[in-house]
Amino acid sequence: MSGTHPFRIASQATDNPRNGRPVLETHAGVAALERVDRLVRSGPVFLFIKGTPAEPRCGFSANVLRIIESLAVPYLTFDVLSDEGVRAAAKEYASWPTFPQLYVRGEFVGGNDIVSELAADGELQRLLRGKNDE
Amino acid sequence: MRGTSELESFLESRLPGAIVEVRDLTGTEDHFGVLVASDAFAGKGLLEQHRVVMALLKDHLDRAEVHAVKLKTMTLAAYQQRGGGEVRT
Repeated sequence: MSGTHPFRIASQATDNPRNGRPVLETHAGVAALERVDRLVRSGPVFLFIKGTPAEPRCGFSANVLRIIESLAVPYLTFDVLSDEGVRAAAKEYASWPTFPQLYVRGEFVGGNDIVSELAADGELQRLLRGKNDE
Repeated sequence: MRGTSELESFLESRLPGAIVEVRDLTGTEDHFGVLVASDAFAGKGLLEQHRVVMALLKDHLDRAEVHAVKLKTMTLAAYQQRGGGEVRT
């Protein structure tokens, strides 16, 4: 898995042709949920955010990005403003109504408040380090 | 009439015995700092604690009466330990 890059994931995810035409997913159908499932497993640390790491479009997304950046771990992101289908499906997948959303090793961790609190307590660092007990 | 006291009594009615403190973060009565200390959170992780409160606020959020919530949850024991609560902004 060399050369993975946040924007690579984003462009692949929005490029999803069926019968030569883009799939329109205005509701969180099975296809959209499967895309979300693939996205959150695309790397050990994954973020649904509004905007991009270079240009976050929301203060909460910017805050979580700042926290993850400060931990110096590789991560992937998806801009939910770029795809309404993924945006709706991500809410349903996590049963969580807002963005940003952080996933670690495919598991939903939380949004801005939870990530901030875990980081302040040092819990996030422990979580990212992982246990390797498998 | 919405506001901090209405939101406090709403959450307290849904979580009997809980201590609820709500602050209006923006002066616009739609961005709230919410602290909930409840024994209903005992044995639950942070995510599950937040899910309990967010589920209670779902209608408020859906109706856009509440745009954003800055949430802090803890057990009553943890609340006593920190000598009362304050929603940080």
